[in-house]
Amino acid sequence: MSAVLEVRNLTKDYGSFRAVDGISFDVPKGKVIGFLGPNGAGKTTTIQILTGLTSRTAGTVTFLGKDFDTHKEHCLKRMNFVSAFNTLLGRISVYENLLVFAHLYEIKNAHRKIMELLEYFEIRDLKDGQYQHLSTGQKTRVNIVKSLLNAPKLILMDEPTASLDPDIADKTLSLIERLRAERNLSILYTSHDMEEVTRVCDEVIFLQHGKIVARDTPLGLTKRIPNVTLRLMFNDHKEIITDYLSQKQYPFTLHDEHTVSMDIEEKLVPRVIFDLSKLGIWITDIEVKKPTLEDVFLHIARH
Amino acid sequence: MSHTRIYAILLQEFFFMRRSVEVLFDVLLFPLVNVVLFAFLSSYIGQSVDAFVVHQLLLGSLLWQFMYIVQYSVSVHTMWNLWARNLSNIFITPIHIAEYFTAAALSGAAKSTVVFVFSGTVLMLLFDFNVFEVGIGPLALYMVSLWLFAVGVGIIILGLIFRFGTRISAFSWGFLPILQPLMATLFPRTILPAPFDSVALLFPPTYVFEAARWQLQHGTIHWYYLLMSYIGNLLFVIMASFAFRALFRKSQETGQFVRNE
Repeated sequence: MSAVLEVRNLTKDYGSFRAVDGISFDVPKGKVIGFLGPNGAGKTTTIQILTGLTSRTAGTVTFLGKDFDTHKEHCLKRMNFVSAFNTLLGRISVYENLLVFAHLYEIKNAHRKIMELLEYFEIRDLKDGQYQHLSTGQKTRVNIVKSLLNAPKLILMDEPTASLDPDIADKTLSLIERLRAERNLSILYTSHDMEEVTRVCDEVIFLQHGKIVARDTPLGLTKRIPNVTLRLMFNDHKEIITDYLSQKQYPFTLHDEHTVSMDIEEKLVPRVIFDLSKLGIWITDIEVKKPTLEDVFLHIARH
Repeated sequence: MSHTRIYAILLQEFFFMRRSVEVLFDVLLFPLVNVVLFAFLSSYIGQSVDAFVVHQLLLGSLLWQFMYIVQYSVSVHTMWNLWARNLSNIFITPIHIAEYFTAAALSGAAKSTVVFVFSGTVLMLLFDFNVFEVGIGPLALYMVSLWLFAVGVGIIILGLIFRFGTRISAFSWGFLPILQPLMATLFPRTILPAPFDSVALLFPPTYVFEAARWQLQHGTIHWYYLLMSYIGNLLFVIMASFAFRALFRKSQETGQFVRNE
């Protein structure tokens, strides 16, 4: 699969502080790549470098096969950017803002393109309203329309759902999923929200202290933690259960007289249930909690 | 250079100005009130001094307003985009810095010319002073020279704000007035005490204001002053462009440019 964006040994120093430390990655065509990491990991700095707003100390960025530095105009014409932290000019209308950007991207038939996108995102009726009077969710939609004006091959999304309420965030994520499905867009997506990254991203890159510490599919990353949390509810015979778990040396927590949970390898779950049944324990409820991306994130961040 | 991208910035300025009362006040109303104020003051002092002194004062105030509005326009419109957190959106489009500033400079010229013509007409109709008698050609020469200086100052101020942050954003509307007394805008340079009379010669607009006063007094263009102003202003704009480039590059290096938003 051909890569839309190729980043090699990207490094950014702020004085003696190294914000991005020699990272390399590709964004393949039609894929959503998630950038995850704690605050200060270098996610936003990387995005800012890729837009040309911040300069890099070392490394190369190749976009659609062309060097970003020597073909900056060519590259910027074919990419776009959405961030929860950037807004459009508040006093002018949605249409006026979009018209300005359509001209900045030298879009032919700007009016038709704007109207098509407003229609697509079901916000045509907001066209004449001042941007500053829109709700946060409406602003996000307009920002996404702005980012699609130039029919980009790559969109850089820096926490696009930050500060949105769950319902609007969900709608925004649905839009992103729809865009990926219908327009074969490549997206580089940063977020703190593990759930949304799991939902929209094909691959996830974990950054920590400016370095890539893991890269895999969301499922692949969660499989890196072999343990699951097994929670059992039972009728009686607490002592038999604790004796069994102690003997097997499984770390466990007894929540009350009828509930116990333990972190064990996933493959041992059937064995434990079978053994306890054989010991005469009447299990009334079983809950297996698989590791989430958040667990992987915490696991990586703490090790 | 893309005309479409220059047009985009001009369009944005037009849309924005139409909806911003404070910009209309700053760019249109206050300058007009200022000129009218000077006209009343001139009428008052005209009772005891020669008419040409009064006319010098009025011409100086008109040309000063022209220069100030250009610089204000170049700097402050960018600040509105910065305050709206929209400047990054603009700078990730394929627009070149030169296109952006060309648009800002053209917009500044358009606004200040409108104000100049309007104020000049008010002075002509209400205060018996016809600035257009100086001649459209000479006036245009003075205005273009001042425009160059104002654009240069606007560019440097933006470079400084990009580099050092919005805490110095007051420069964008307050810096040029600090220089006003040193550029002998309303009075002859010789009025300035030493060493400021010599310092004034370091500012190219001083030559424009001196040339304009000369023309009112003698009826001819002081070509030497005019030439000096153009040489000075062209050099200044070139230096300002290099300074901006260096400041902008540094702001991209330090990350200050994005932090400003």
